[in-house]
Amino acid sequence: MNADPLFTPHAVCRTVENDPNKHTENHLGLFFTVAEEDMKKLFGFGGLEKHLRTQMATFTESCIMVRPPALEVINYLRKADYEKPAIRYVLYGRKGVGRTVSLAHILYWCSLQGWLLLHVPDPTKFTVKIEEMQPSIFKPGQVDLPLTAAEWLKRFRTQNALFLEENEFTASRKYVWSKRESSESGSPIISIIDYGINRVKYAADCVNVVIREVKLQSQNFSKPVIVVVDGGNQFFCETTIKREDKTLLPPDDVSLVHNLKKLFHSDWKNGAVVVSVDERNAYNMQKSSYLPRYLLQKEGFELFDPFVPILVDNYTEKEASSCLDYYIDRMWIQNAKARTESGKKELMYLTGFNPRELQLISNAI
Amino acid sequence: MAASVKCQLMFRNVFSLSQFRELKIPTRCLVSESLSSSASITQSGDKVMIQTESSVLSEKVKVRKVSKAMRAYIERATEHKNFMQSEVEEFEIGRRHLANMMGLDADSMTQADIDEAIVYLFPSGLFDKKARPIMKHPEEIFPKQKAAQFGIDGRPFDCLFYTGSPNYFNIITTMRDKMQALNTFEDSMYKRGIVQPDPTMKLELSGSQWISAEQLEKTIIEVVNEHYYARLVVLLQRLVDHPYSYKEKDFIMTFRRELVAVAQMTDIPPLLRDDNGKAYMDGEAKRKSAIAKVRVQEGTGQIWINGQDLIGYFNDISHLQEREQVLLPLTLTDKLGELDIDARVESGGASSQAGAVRLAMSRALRSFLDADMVEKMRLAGLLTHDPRRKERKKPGQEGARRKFTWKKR
Repeated sequence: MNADPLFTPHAVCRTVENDPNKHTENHLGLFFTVAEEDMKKLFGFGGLEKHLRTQMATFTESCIMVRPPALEVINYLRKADYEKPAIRYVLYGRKGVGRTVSLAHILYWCSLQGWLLLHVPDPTKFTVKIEEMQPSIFKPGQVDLPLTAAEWLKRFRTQNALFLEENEFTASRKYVWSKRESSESGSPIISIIDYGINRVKYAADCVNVVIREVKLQSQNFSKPVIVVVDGGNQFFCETTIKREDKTLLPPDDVSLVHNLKKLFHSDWKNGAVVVSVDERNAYNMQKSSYLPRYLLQKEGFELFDPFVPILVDNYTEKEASSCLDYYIDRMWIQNAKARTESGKKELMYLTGFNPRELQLISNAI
Repeated sequence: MAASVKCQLMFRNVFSLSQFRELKIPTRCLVSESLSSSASITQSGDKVMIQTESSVLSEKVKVRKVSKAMRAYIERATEHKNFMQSEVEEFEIGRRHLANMMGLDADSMTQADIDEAIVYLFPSGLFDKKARPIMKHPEEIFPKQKAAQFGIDGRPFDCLFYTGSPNYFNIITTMRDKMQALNTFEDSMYKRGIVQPDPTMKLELSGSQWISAEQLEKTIIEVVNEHYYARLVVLLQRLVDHPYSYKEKDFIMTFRRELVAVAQMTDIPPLLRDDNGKAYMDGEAKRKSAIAKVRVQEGTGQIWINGQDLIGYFNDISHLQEREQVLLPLTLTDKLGELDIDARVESGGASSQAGAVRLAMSRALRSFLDADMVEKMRLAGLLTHDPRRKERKKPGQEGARRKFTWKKR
């Protein structure tokens, strides 16, 4: 029986307002639905964790809760002065607290506003879980990751299809790929992207070119540029890439990392950088803390300083109750006792109001 | 002669036996009375001299020859009596000495005072309370013995002596008589037109339970085996089930013992207040080698263990059981969002620490709750110390219980 989700008994957790631009404090703790096409467009190439995607598939809908960190950042992005240098926002918080989902919410708002999105959902693919590696053509000593770069280009293209159609984004100079192939000055960036996707060998260079062009021309765009990196502190940690002489490659020797880091600087206009720092990326650290100063390390902190720190915390009681209501509404929680008020309270305390823990426990009930 | 005795015995079964003895629980068989209050008995060798107070026989002294068994029996009875007398004297003297030592008034000294004094003078580290030094009246310490069951002539006082447990069977036959009386009463009520007894007069037996076999043994000073005990309870119940059983309330209540709620037996300390006026209570507990000290305070439902959050301390989702254990006292008593918990625990593994915290918390929590809730906690097992320890490995076995693999050849 397909009941209208808005009129089921536990639908108090939902809101009709699906436009992030219209979300206010009144919508805190409520779930809004992201349209299927938008989901595919934005997150078709990653951006939401696997367990969340599976859950969305099971529930046949993609709902995200409106929470203070995302609202706060969206508010800042709305009001920022884009004549001034790019502002860096750092989302930090303990494990399982909802940084990735907050980033997804922010990304969704930006895409609906028509901004240019530079999304890096998984930096570990650049430094740790690399697929294929080749020495850089353009810069000797550096290393290219062709497959990862090609994937990035595909994502960029899908996410920014509308932007690239509406805005004129052309190459500022001629780029020579090899003896026979080159892109002329003034050719649209989209052709460079297509070239990179087709010629995987040069994909990394294409990515670097795109980044360079974005930085150069950002102030000319009608809409700002947003750089979203989920786990940005990964770029300041050691890689596990080994050279031939068995020494470890520093992260800056990966060309993609080197160029992406350039976006973290605040020497460009009409843009914003939203980065989350993740404890799990701190592979080589003994005792980890979730705070930005620790996770970004000296180099990262000096690079990012000054930045706007946004704490993403555990659910409040209202949010946790709403989350459980959503699971009950979706018939995910089967246990009869868990559906009662006292049962919900017990679950909340058992999981310490942690969103991830709440999800894990709900999977088992 | 024999035939007439037989006839008499037959008739005994038919008629009421009340004419042969008194109706109340026989007292003649209990300790209090001495052998024979109206005669003095002296013994010389094989012969026993009896001097009665009867004025008629005052000049004559009867000399009788008694059997060895009889003599031994009397010896034993008098010996016990004398022994008890001397013990009581010693106890009294000791009591006075104690009063003198402790600076108390000997006459107004109660057993509680004596116990306190003994604990002070003889501090003991023994765990078993029954092994520690005690000073009680000899009648409480020495097991009661029955006084003489038969007289000089060898004839037993009680007609049921030869059953082996006269007191027990006296109870049974008393009950039978009472049952008969109640039936007669019921019949008379029927004749008057009263069919049902007054319901307000019904015997109220909740809050008490039947006397236990051990207690019964102590009361009647006879060995009661399980079949006899079961039989007694069945018959008492039958008496109780009679509609007019309230008439025999006193008799029945001598076999009932009141139930005292265990929770009421321990003292629950009152709430303490800190500088800000917030109520708090401390609790300590152990489980295996884990020692936990918990402070429960009025608050908003925060739980800290060793300075960390609950899910931070019991990190993994595999420690779900430990988290549940720590939260159990609060969920059971519905105090989840109302109290702050600050726990310090050391030693032991995750499960032991959780168990220790749970018990310490439950102990502290009692002060915040009413008696019903405390009883609920007690029934849930939250207030019971878990004494289990790892069982020793035995030689010839692989573990505590596991044997080595048995091979046929």
